Amino acid sequence: MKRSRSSHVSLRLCASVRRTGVVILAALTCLPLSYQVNAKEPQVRIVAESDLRFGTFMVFGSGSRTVSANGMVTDSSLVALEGNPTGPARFSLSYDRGNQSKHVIDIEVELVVSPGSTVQQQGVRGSLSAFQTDLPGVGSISPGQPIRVLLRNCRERVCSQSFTIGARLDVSRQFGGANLIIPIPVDVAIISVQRQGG
Amino acid sequence: MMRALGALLLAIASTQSLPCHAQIAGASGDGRASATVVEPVRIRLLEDLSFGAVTVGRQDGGEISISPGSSAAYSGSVAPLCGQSSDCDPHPARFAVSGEPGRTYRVQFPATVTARGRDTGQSLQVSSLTMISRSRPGADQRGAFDGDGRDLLEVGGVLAIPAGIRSDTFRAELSISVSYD
Repeated sequence: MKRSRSSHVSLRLCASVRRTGVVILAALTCLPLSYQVNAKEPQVRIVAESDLRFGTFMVFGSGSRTVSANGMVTDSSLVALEGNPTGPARFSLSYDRGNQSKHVIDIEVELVVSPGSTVQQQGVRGSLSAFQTDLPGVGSISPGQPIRVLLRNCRERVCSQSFTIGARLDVSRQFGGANLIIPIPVDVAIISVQRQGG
Repeated sequence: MMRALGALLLAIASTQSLPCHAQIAGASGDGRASATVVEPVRIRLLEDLSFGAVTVGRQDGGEISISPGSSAAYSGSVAPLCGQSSDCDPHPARFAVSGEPGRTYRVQFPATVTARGRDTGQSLQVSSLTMISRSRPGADQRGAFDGDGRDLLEVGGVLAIPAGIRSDTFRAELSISVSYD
């Protein structure tokens, strides 16, 4: 339904182009938009492929476990137990150019990890901090601060990059146990899409 | 003229189209972190392992055996001396353990301990220490927490008493540890 409505807009623009140059100038900034909707909108996507897994452990009062971006586990004041596996979160960032062009392009994306939240389940409280990633040249992540990610030499319709995120989980326990689930919202936005050699 | 301007603007449009993409593109991903925090295991002594009060002959020794979940058995010249007094009845040690509901655990303790006489300093050997859990009576030094995260352990053993030993009160320390599988 959305597509058919845009198609009418495009036709009107084409009609205006023939009448006056002033109208053409005004329509210029809108022309690409109507064209995209007509064809296939370019879009950026971020997909969480796996959780940041802190596994299973026992803690008496308080302690922390760090799972690095490459999966290394470091414990402080807790006892590791058999159970769930550990591992960094894995995200897949992709850019779909639609069917606009077949040029080689560089896409610059801004990625923001929201500030780590704290959750409490019964007598157990957990909070995330010290985020890190395996994205080249980034290392540690400050929540709320944007990270620039470059998808270079994109030749396909969809270009993507996978990356991992690790963090430290601080746990304090007053009573009982818990299965903690802490959200890690990640937002991405396109900064620029540059055609190579253009 | 208008055709030339239109061609020029179309050319500009084709090179300027990419920044327009930037204005419309954005997305969010809902990642999450997960952890299973397990309540620590706790063990609490309910009752000591007690061999009660016994007598032993001057010529022959004997043994008293206390099996978890059953009554005491005497051999050789060893015989019970408690009579109707219930506070010296032999019984296994009893421990209450608590932890994560449904999780299994293992128990560790020495195979033997040495009891020493309070007044004489004589020593007696307690051997064949064994345990059973209420949750898994047939399992070897293992148990599982019930839906409330509880279980009960009993520990027994065999006390060997040589002939002619002098009267005394003997006491040994038994260390027992419980940990999750």
